[in-house]
Amino acid sequence: MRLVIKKNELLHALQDVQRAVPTRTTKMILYGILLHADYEKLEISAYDQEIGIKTNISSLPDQEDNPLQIEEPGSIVLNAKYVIEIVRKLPQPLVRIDVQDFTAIIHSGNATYTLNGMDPREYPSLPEIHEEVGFTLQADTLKMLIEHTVFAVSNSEVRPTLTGILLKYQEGTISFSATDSHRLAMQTIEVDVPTGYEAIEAIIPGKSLTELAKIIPDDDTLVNIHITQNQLLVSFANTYFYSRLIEGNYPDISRIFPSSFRSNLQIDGKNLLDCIERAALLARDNENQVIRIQLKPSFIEVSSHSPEIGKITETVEPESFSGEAMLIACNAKFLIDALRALGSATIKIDFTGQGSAFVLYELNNDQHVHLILPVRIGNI
Amino acid sequence: MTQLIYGLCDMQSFYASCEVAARKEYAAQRTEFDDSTDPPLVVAGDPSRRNGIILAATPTAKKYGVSNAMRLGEALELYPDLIVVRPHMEFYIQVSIRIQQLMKQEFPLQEQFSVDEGFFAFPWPSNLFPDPIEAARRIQEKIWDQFRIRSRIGMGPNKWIAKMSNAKAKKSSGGIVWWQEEEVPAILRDMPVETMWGLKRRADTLKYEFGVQTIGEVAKIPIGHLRARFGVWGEIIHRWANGIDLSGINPSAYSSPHKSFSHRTTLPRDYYERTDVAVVILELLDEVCYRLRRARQVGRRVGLGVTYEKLTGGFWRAKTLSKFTDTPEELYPELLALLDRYWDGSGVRAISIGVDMLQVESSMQLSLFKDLPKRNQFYEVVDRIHEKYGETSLIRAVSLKKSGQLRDRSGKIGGHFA
Repeated sequence: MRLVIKKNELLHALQDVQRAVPTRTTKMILYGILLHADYEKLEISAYDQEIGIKTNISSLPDQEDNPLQIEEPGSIVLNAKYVIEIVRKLPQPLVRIDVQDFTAIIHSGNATYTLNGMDPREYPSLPEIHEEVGFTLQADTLKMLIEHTVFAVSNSEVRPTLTGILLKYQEGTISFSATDSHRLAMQTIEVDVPTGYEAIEAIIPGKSLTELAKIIPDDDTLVNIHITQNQLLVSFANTYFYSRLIEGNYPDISRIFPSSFRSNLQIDGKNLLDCIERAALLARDNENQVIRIQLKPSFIEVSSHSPEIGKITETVEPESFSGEAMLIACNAKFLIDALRALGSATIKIDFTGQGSAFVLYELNNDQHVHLILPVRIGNI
Repeated sequence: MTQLIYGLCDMQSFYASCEVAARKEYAAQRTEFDDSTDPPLVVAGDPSRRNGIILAATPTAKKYGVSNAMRLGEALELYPDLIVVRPHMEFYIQVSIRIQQLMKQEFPLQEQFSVDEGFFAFPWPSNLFPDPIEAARRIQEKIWDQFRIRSRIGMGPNKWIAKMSNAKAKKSSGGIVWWQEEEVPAILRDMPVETMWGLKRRADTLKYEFGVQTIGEVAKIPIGHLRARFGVWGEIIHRWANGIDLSGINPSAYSSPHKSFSHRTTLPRDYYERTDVAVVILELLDEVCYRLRRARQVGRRVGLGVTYEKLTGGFWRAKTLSKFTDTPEELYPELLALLDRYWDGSGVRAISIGVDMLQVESSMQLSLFKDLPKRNQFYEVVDRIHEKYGETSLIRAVSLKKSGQLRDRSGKIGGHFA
């Protein structure tokens, strides 16, 4: 392999792909990134057998601003950590990479690195996915779907399905749901493009989607999503993102949302978030990070205490309140996560009682919903 | 200035003494200050098997060369007429509790140290205890009067010295020794390193790496050298060698909230099958969780210890969870994951389970998929059935398997029949 490439193009590709390099593994080869060049393009990929990322940089000899010149095809696996550090620090905007056997010589300006690589034949191949059926979303929409739900996945392996986000396509809507069995976040969107699927359900590891959200652009770039029996492929621009799917049955969440409420509340999201964050300071060491919310017709009182540290009480005024007064105790972190996702607009909260779920959503928008189960306090 | 005198009171051959005191024919002959009035009695792990282990022996039995942890067969070769009795753990514990209570009545500052030892402390000089030796004699006499058990008492300016002087008291007639603060350095100076209580293998390190023979020489080792070799222990060794010990008496040491709960069992044979090991893990976990529930505590770290065949090798590994729990449903999969990850397939001879990083349970996070209040009620009922009708009245079906230890274990305390 012999090629000359623009440093920035190479660096961006390496940085994106690096998200699929494990931090700890017993297989040395997985610490590497695979570079593979044919006469048209350079493929840069990493695959930890859970997440795989591949980015192509095309050679465009007819263009004046050609990012890549390939003199001889070939491939090599280079240690991710070192190659990224090295490329980042290279002195000139152009980089020459010459590979002989398993050694790469990297030139830029007057700097020459000779890096020992690994055998590309030992590197695991990315899953093969036929791309005939799938659907398309805007990158920023996909990112929003992920960011509004991913924090609610469970990080306990006791129920593996809950460590993933449930993606559901049905009758022109796509929904992402996540729950750790104590709270649930759900975002639905309407899609009017034909998908090739009739209906689909897939459980995608939360960890994969967190990484995906970091590499998809924050604009209206189109993203293609393909789902097979056990793999997800997301492709956009020149990048392909693969993830294993979680096997098993996701619990039935369709009947979790209550249909009648005893009290409801409208309040400025930002005000409430600030208030809960202040109260949470004293709830941190508590087993369930408990804060108490006393709902009264004229005001809401938020409080928390820590036996060793002290206590806090704060009142906030709602924009409107109707229904019964009640005391709710809940995990401050769940509430903060939901309020951050909802943003600063006016939000609506429906309460069903002291020992049952409450639901938060943006006013006049029931497509973005958070459900939280309270904590039982006192005589448990 | 008034200071505290610390004392350590320990029972002579406790299990064996309990057995002697419980038998009229021997108890009547027994006198407080003549060890030879005891019968040659030993308590042995399993008297029906010659490879049972001697748990305790009276001074008379010891005179024939019998010692603790010796195999019964060996002891009978030394003296064929030994009186061999099986252990009655429940009885010893009852006696132990009463002796500790007796000490506490005499000295409110009292802390149980083991089944047959207790620390106490009292102010001196003071009008309440004008003569420390007499105060010690009083408790020794009360224990003898009520239980027919001999005790030995060591006293000094701190707990560690009390432990050291207690060792001396065991070899002194009368069984009471008091070291006053000013005489401590001179006493310790010429004592051999290995008599320093609590050092375990560190004593050998001092002897062979530092080349010291006596406690006085240890006291002269610069503290920096000790720290460099032993870490925090270096400081403690330095203090002890200089007769200093900063630990206080904690009268509620046995009733304050637990820092961890753990259970261990030694298996009757080596287990090779994962399913067999798993049964025992679940049984031990149930016990740990029962104690967590009773203490109203929840834990965040769960540990699994496995000892391999011939009791050599094995591992202890723990996992910290994202939330606090006291339920077997959540902890059992974590323990199996630890087993799968760290077990190399060797025969398993002993298993231990522990839960720590505890908190007092003050709230319950409700769940979308499980009725947790109902589950708590369920365990409450199970616990009450166990408490009323015994541990084996209601068991998991897996415990009926051959590998289950629960039914065999429930009759035992500390691995011996209650």
